[in-house]
Order: sequence, then C-alpha cells, then structure tokens
Amino acid sequence: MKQSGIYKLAKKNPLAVIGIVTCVIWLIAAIIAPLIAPYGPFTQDLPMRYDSPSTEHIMGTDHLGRDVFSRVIWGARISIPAGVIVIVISTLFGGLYGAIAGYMGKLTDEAMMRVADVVMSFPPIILAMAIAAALGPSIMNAVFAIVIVWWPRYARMMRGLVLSTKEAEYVSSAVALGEKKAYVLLKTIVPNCVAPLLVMASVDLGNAILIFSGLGFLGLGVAPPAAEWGVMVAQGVAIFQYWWISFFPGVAILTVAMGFNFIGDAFRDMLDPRLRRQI
Amino acid sequence: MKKYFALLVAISFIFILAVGCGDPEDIDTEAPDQEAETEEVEDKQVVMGINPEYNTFDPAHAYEKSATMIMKVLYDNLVTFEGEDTVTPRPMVAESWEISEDNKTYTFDLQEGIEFTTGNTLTAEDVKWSFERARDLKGNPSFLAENIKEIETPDDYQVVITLHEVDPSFLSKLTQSVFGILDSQVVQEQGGTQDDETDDAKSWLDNHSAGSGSYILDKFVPNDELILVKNDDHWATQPEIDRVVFRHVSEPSTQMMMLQKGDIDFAFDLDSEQIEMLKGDENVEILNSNTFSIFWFHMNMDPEIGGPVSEPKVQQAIRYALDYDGLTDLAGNDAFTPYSIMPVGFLGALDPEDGIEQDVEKAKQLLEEAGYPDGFEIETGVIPGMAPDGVSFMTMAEKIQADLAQVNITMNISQEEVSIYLEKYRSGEHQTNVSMWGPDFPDALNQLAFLPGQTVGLRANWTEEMNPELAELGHQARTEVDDEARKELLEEIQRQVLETGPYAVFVQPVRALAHSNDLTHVLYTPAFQLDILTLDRQ
Repeated sequence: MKQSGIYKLAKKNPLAVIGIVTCVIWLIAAIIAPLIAPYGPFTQDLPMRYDSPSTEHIMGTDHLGRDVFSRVIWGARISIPAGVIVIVISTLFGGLYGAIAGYMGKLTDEAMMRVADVVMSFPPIILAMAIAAALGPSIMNAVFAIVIVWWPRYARMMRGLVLSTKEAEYVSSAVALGEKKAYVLLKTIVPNCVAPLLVMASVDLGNAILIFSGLGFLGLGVAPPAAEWGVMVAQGVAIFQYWWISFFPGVAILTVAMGFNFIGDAFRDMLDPRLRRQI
Repeated sequence: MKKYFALLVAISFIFILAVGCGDPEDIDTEAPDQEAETEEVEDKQVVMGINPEYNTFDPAHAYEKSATMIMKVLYDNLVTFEGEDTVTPRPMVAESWEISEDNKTYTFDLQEGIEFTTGNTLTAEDVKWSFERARDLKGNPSFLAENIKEIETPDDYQVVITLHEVDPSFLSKLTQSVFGILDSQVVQEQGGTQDDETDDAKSWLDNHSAGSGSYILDKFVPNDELILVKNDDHWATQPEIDRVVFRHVSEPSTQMMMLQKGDIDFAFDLDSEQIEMLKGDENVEILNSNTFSIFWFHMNMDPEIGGPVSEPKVQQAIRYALDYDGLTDLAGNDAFTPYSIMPVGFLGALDPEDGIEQDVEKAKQLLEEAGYPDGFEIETGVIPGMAPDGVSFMTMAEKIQADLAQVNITMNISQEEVSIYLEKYRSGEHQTNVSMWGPDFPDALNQLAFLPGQTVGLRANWTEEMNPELAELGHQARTEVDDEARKELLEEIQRQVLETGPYAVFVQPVRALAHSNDLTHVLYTPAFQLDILTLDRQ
C-alpha cells in the first residue's frame, strides 16, 4: 500500500523525486565530505588566490586561495544539521507548548498564547538577527536565535489541533475512565495531531536552512574560517568579478532549500488526509 | 509692435536653449580635444569621489584624515611641509622663527599684509585667538595644542609661544589643521569663543570657512557633496583648479564605475581588487602611495586576561610563526612588513629587511620551552567588513589563524561591532586582537604610544613597571631635540620592542588610488593625502 503510494507520487509529482534525489545527494556529500573534497576546507594557498574555475579547482578559489568546491562540500556539514536541529527543537518545544495551552484552556491558554503572539509580532529575520547579534557569532547561537523565532508557529498550530481533538468522543471516554491529564494529552490527543505538524516541519526545513545562511551572510551566524554557505556568499559579493566565490555556495543554498521544499510538499500530499482524498 | 515683441521672445528663447545646451558639454570630461582651447578660459573643475569621514571643518574639532586634507587649503598655518617632506617645516604665515636656548619659547615673525577671504587682515591677535581656541575647546585634535603654556603678541606681526615641556615635534604639529589660523573677528561674530561651554561657532564652521587659505568652502551638504572654490586673492599660491567638488560616494564599486564613465576624476576608496581591474583601463592612472599606518597582532600582557600570550616566550613564538610574505601579499599594492612599531618614512625607522622572518621551527621550539608543546586556544577580536587603507582586518585575521594553527595555537575569531571592539580594545580587555594605528601627526614621537605605560601599551596592559628601562628610553626620546641623538634612541626603542613588546607588527600598507589621466601633477602624501594646490588638469 505504502510502496504503491510512493510510486504513484513519483508519477504524479516528479518534483518530489527531484527533491528527494537532490537531498539524498547532499546528505551523502555531507557524510563523506572528507573523502570527496579534493582539498581541506581551511587549506590556504596564497599564490592561487582568486583562481577561476579550472580542472584543478572546479569551482575556483577564494580570497585566501581556498578551494571553493571543497568548502561547499564541507558547508553541507554545517547548514543541513543546523537546519534539522532548528526544526526538531522548534517542533518538539512548540508542539508541546501548544498542546499544553490547548488542553488546559482558559487562563493558562490565554497567558501562554500571548507569549507566543509577542514573539510572532516581530519580523522573524529581524528578531533572529537581534538575538544572534546579542549572543555573538557561533553556530549554536545562530541555531538558538532561529529556534526562538520559529517555535510559536508550531505552538499555534498544535493548539488549534488539540482544541478540536479534545472534543472527540474517544478523548471524553479516556477522561471518563479516570486517566491522568498528562496521559490523556500525550497518549490520546497528541498522536492524533502529529501528522500536520510533521508536514509543516518538513516544508519548513528548507526555510530554516535559508535563514541560517542569511544570518551567516550578515556576519551573525558562524565565525570564520568555518565553511558556511552564507559566509562564503558574503565574502564574494564585494568583488563581483570573481563571481565563483559567491555563485557556487549560492547554488548550494538554492538546491538544498528547494530540495527540502519539494520533499515537504510531497510529504504534505501524502499525509494530509483532506488532500489525499482529493487525489 | 507685437511682431517685434514675438521676435524678441523667439530670439531670447533660442539664446537660452543654446546656453542650456552648452553647459553639459563644459562639465563633460570626455569632451573632444578641439574644444580644449575654448575650455582654457573656462573654469577648471575637478570632481572627486570619496567616502567621507568628515562632518565639520572647524579646525578645533575636525580631525579626520580627509578633513585635514581639505582644511589644509582652507586655512593657512604658521609653518607647513612642502611636497612629500615631513621632516623640515617651511615658512608659511610665519616668515621666520627663533627657538630659545631652553627649547621652550618659539618666536615667530609673521608675513605682513595677509588678508582673510573675509577681507580682514591677519594679525598676531588672530593667531593667538585661534591657537587658544584650539587648545581650550577640548575637541578631538586639542591634545596637539595642550603643551602650549601661553601666547604673547608683542606687536601685530610677532607671536611668542611658550611651552610647558620641551617638544621636538612642536613645529611639525604646527603644520596640522588644528593650528589653522581663523579670522577671529568673523568667528566671534558667529558666536565663537574659547570656551567649550559657550562656543557657538562650530555649527557655522561646519560648512563655512573663515581662513586665509587658497580655497573657500562654498557648499557642504553631508552625504551629498562638498564644493571648494578658489580664493583669487591669496597672498602666496595660485592653484590651477578653480572648483573642487567632493562627491560623497560610499560604495567603492560605484566609485570605480563613476571613474570609468568619467563622472569623477579621482577615486579615493578603491580596494586592491578594483585597482587590479582598472590596470587595463587606458583612461585611468593608478597611484601608489605609502602610508604611515601599521597593522599588528596585539597580545595582552596581563596574565589573567592574556593567559599564555602574556608570556614573553610565547609572544616571540607568535612573532616567528607569522607568514609575513603571505600577509603583505594579501594586503596588496606592494605593502610590506616594517621592522617594528616605526613605519618607514619616519625618523629613525629601521630597515624592514633586518626585521623578523617566519621560522616555524623556532616558534615551535619557543613554545615548547614556554611549556606549551601542544599549543593552546586563544580568542582574537576582529572588526569584520572594515578595510582601512585597503587592508581587510578579517582577511588578515584568517591568514594569522592559519599561520598559528601550524604551531598548534587554535585561534578563535570573535567578530565585533566597531564600537564594542574599540571599547574592549581601549580598556585592554582583549586577550588578543588585530589592530591598526595611523599616527596623529607626521612625527616619530607618535609611535612612542606603543611603549609600556603609554596609550597603546596600556591597551595591552603593558605598564611602566613591567619594563622601566624601555619606558625611560621613551621619556628621553620625547624631550631630545638633537635629531641625531633622537634617531639613536628611536632605533634602540624599536630593537627592544621587537624583542619584548606584546606586538607582532605585520603590515605597513601602501594605498592605491586611481584618477583619470586628464589630471596632472597629482601629489599624494601619507601625511596630508591629496595635495589640492599642485593639482592641474589637461
């Protein structure tokens, strides 16, 4: 049943296949980076500065003579895990937060959701910039800054789902059986609300990587010499005649973000019962 | 009657059109050669592209490098430097001068009949009032005048200045814009006083000039442009250019495009990559100019803050670990590594050839002797996205990071906002950082700030007690008036700092500028930047 689902999807939705292929390639590249990168990510070779793409350096070299191709490959080891960590923490924390708010209701709900509203009332990238700038540039700080602005959307969604689910009869019967509140929430309600949350998370993964690279680009993400894509793009923009310094990391960000978006869309098509019925 | 009137209107209309069309051609710098003859009688104009740091032209307040360049032609000084010379002051408003036996009293005889652009006559009273205002307003450059004890004016054309302390660099300081002579009458009418609390003239002097210089400040609109027009009645010099326009262009790449299109004649802020690109352009000339700036790796002497880098052996190891050839290569434009804290061009600067060279083995050995065979971790403060004199702090830091990794020192770059960086740097809180210093006035005495107990030394928590002998050499150099003896002292100081100082000086940049090849007699000096007085165009 499941297999035929994926097969059908591949036929109906070739974009999903492209997304999966792109992401799998990037994941493999990240895992075996030391094996496929021809140079070290930090190896400087001053006489070879600003070398244009050639057989020796297929993506050219940057302002310190570092091989751009190697750095792009190593960059996957930073950006992809960072995006995944952001999404996992946001989903877990935001989901739980929203579930509690929705289930408790009344004043607790009001208080908890207003906190989420306060965070959501800021433009996300600006707030993330402010937090990252205050904490100082490092990978963990950037991840933390993005999580801070990211979790409320999951909280909101989860709360809405819990609100509608808790009226269901199987929930009332669990309560009638005298189960504890935590048990009812975690064992009866939450499992029935997880699917839409996962869909949202998978669509968001690409965005999280994008924002993470954005912080790096602004000098708020990762400290040099780390091979992070956003930082690499920033290093090249001032000197546009050496286009390859920015172009290839830019392409990396684009393909990864797009790949995860395609997968997310396909995932939604599969999991969202309303959409599946329409097919 | 009506017919005649219509004809008159038509004729004047055509006339206006003709004049209107004529104008842009005069401005167009790429006008055909045949028009050159008619342009001869037209005003000569030069347009500069600059990312300005200046915001006022009040001699008592302005101290930015580009402001001093402009104030040099707005105001006359008692003495001046000519051309590239920064060692022998020449007469300007002061015809001649005498220095007393004890080297503390200077008597200047002034040129008679000098008129301000306002029409008033320049007298000794104006000199006294301007200098006292410069000293007492406590503006950025006031420290240059602090040493003045009193100024007397025996008659209208004689000024006697008495100093608190002997200062061999006093005449050299007098060439600086802070000692520009103001028309005291006009400035007082504009609310000028000699007291910081009551002085109201700054806002007027922000965009007016009240001097006797070769140019008059015609217009200054921040973030837009600054226009200087020639003072036709100047008593001594008659520059060739009638109008100098400084167009404020913050982006270096925009400056490059404007220069290529002919919209500007001179680009001040290009970086080394853009200079490389312009080298093929036949309408553009590249100009390399030495600077007096130095870049160094700064190490904290306080064991609590510096940790391992506070130890002399570790500091020496770091000096041996740096790849100076690579760093100067990255700085571009034929930059080089000076011997130590004294930039080449100053009195007593030792030959860079005799300086330190990379020796990784020796560095490793020194670290082992100091007890760190496996290295250690340090944090280094760096300002990202800033490249004074075309040298990027970040690029330098990344290179140093790679060099130190070779001797097992892990360097973590901490990117800091300029204000945060400066606060930490000035209070000596950085474990290490990448620093830059441009001298305040063109004299070797500036660099004594690097000695223990002095401005820069204290930023590394290098106090006088840590090296009293070296500090004493500094005190001697500061008051020595004999140039030969001064030179010997300065040389000894450089040798000792190279051995024991908490600095690894790695680059003295060479600044590259570009101008259209219409411009001739372009003279650019590290002390005063572009000399507007000698400039001419074809």
